Amino acid sequence: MKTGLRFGVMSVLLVVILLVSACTGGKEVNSGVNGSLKIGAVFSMTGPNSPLGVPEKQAVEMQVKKLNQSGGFNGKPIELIIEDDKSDNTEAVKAIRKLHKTDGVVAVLGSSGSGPSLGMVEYASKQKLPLISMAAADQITNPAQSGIYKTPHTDIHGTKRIYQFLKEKGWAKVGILYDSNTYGSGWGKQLKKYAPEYGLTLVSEEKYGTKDSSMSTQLTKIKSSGAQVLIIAGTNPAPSTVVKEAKQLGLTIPIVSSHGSANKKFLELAGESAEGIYMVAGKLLIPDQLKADDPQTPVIKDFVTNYKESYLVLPDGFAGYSYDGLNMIIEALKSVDGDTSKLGEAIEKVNYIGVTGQFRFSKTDHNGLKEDSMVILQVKGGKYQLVN
Amino acid sequence: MKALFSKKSLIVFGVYLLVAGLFPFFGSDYFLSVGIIMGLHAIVTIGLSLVMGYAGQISLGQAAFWGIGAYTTGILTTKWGMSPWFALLIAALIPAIAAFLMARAIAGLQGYYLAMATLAMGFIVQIVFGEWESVTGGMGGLVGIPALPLFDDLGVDFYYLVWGMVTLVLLFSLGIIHSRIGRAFRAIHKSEIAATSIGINVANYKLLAFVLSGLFAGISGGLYANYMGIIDPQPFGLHESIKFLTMVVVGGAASVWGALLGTILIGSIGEVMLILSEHFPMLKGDMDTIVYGAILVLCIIFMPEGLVPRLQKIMAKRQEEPLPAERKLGA
Repeated sequence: MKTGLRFGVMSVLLVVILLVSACTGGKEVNSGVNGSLKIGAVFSMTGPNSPLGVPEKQAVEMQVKKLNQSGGFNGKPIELIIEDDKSDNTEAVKAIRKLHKTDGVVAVLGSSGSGPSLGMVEYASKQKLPLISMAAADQITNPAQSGIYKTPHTDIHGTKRIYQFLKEKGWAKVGILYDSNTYGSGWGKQLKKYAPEYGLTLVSEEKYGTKDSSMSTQLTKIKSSGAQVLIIAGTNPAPSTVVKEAKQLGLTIPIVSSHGSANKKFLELAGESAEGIYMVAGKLLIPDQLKADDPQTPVIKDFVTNYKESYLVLPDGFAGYSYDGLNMIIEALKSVDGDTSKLGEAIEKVNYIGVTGQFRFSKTDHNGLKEDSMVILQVKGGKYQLVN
Repeated sequence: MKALFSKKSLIVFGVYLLVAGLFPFFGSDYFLSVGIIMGLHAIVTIGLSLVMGYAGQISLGQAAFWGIGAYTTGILTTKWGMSPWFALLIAALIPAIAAFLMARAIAGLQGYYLAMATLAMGFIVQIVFGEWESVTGGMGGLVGIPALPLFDDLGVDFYYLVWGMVTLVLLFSLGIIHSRIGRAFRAIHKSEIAATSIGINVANYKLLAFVLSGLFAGISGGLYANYMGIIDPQPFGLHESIKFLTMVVVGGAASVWGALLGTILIGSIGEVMLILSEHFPMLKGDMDTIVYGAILVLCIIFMPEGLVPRLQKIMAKRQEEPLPAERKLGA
């Protein structure tokens, strides 16, 4: 039975190769810079969430470089270890395990998407590893768990901010159109929930699939519903398709789009149809129009200048989310003199003015933002202009 | 049955046990999680190899059964407060029933038509996960799925649970293919008409292959939900189905061992790339998808029968005496 033996030997060899490669890999990662402060990050740099993950990665890389140039943290260089979750839940959980167990990071930023973030939260809360997410889903910080935070504006902030604006304008009959993905359906839920509180009536509720190439059916229904204003909640490119088709169909009511579409891409895609569209967004989009007495103004201007210098483009909201997350970790570490075991609780007490907003955490609120950190913009002459 | 207990088979099995059993002592905690995911994938691909390699049917929707298993566990534990162990049992049964219903509905289809039907089923199931919000939690998914009692550390303990399950599934499948059922599967693979002419109830055996693959995928899916603690529709789509298919094809569809080896191989590529990317940053990110694709293409051009049958053939050639029945398995 020579064959059997040979087959066995070959299998053993194959496995030994795999194991050896596995072990050496682990060790090499461990022997990083000695005495550095290790912070982990999981971003979706490839896959459908990559438009979010790439600016997030660039922003933190820029900030770490800047911090290290001015001496790092307490004289220790900050080492940032970034993993790509490929917009995949399973990969995200594998990545956070690697960062925690193999690299020994003190805290983790990420991930870009809601699914991967929720998977990481399950792990981080069990292992008492501080985590700050950049994703939208409400469940990440609701209910609030020790050591788990997130930086982005939520659909609740966006909804409240838009409804305030509608009330001021006196538009009471509202049509809503949202994406059926995680982001859009989250918005749909909040828009329906808060409408009565602001005395508004939803006369039409429509949704579309993320990859749909036309929304004219939904728009026709909204047109005949008597709505005075249309709210769109989705991520690009769909909202730009909506505004284009609305124009073609002769739908003349004002349109408000959510912060998921508030970037340069929307202006490019929608072209002339973007003119006059309202948008709810973070202040980062209009660094030059901010009020001088706003405490966020210097922070935003500083960030925008640095980012533009490093990458030659203006940062979008996503870059701000990870930037704020990293700075909060550093602030919190300062407040406990670098005692990483207290980091999770320390973040809660940090009063941090970031580019996304002013973060004020409490025992029950681990997002820390209020709707006043968002502004209403209008597209005028191909640019975003502050309305109020 | 004799071939199952031949010296050669025992050696292969011994090597497998040794490697699977000792793996946790070599790798770090991170590689343990890689091993766990590989084990979960292996349970699915072994089932898929029964459908593809033995019964000769194609399934482009295997991730759907995996997802049904995961969602069964998720819904029963988080919404009904059922014990995770009991939920896991049901998570194995529901996909098997779903596979039975699907196979009944598309029993008459062959070739491309069958592939299209399984593909469509995969899409439908993923859409249901996303849209049936009151039950599945919609696109946001389900959170807070409890871990299995006794295996709630999700480390070495869970690794042994998963690979114990892989071993059971492996032995069960080896038993099946070396039995009358396995011979019937292979007869159907060669020619459905010929199989019918010698009195094999083709429809029933096809059904059985699908049900078994559904059962395995369900077990794996249930364990996946326990491991992750959260599920949403993202992992249960075409991308994952194709990944399962690639694993089976690369390893060799007509071999249960091939499915296992293919899973380990494809799973390792990503990890090796990750390690290499420490030194060669250009390998970061989506490069592994390109490597998978290249492997699949090369495999289909130069080694259409897959890795394990090819190895068996090479060894058989070197041997002077003719091989026993084992050799014909590769067909």
